[in-house]
Amino acid sequence: MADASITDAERARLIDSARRYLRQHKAWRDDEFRVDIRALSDEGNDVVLWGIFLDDERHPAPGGGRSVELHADRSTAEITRELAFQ
Amino acid sequence: MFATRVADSSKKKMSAAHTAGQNRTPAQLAMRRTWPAGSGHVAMRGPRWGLRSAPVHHGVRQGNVDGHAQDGDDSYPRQAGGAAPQQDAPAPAGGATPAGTYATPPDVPTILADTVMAAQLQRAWTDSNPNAPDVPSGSPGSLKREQGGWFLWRRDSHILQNIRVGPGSRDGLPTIVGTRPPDSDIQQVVAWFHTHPNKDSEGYASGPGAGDINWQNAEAKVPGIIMTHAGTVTIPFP
Repeated sequence: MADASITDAERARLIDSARRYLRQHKAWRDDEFRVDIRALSDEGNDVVLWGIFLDDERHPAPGGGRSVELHADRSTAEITRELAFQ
Repeated sequence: MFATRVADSSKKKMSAAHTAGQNRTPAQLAMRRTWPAGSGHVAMRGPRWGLRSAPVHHGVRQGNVDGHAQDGDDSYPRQAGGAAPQQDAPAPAGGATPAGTYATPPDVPTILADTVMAAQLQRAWTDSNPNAPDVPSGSPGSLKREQGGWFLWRRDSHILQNIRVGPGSRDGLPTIVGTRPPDSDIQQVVAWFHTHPNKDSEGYASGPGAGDINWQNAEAKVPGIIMTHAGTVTIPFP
């Protein structure tokens, strides 16, 4: 794990929350995407995750595609914001 | 602000960035983001150069990869795509390097510090209608259009050239796919660039996304420069 400040348990919880969010809000199937944890806020309260729609990687082009950036509350793992890429 | 600590072991290769000061509030100018290497995120810091104050060079070289202007710009010196460039001025005797020429392929900070290229980046930014009315992500009607292209360094004359591709959509630049100019004994691609004209208030992240990074690693194979509302961001390569 690249970041010792996020425990494996936290990481698993955050990714599970993001996967659940993407299934519910984007109607993505489990085999259509993966979730990466990207960064932690300065304050350590918020986490940025990327929901990578795998088809975007098969046909790379500059731009958003269907993948999204998710912000999560670290303490609750709740997804607080979804942003599109551009 | 998000910063420094990253949990991801992403293979994406990027680590540093630069922020320019166009259309920024003092708070934005003071913003500092430092994403660590390998995170796929970039660091953004205060202005290194003033795009808005950069003079527009009348000898601007801008056009398509075939060497022809893409927007009817008469200031672009038309030439065959593979032809040797027209040199702005003869090199001075004694081996001195004239302004705007580079003895070796310039890196991204050097490109950003070049007033002619900075003006071209500003032009692309303006052309992308970054201040058009907000339209939420996923909704039709946005007047914003991503713009982009390439920076080439001429091996013979040592000048930098800027090549634009056609406009993209509000949140993508598919028009650049397949347009990478070839590296040859007369030219070398040193960077690609594009704009991110959409705002956070429209539901968009300002930095590079997976598409930008993956395409850069797969096709561009040079560093990327992105003009955003939060500043100028670079995607290092490799």
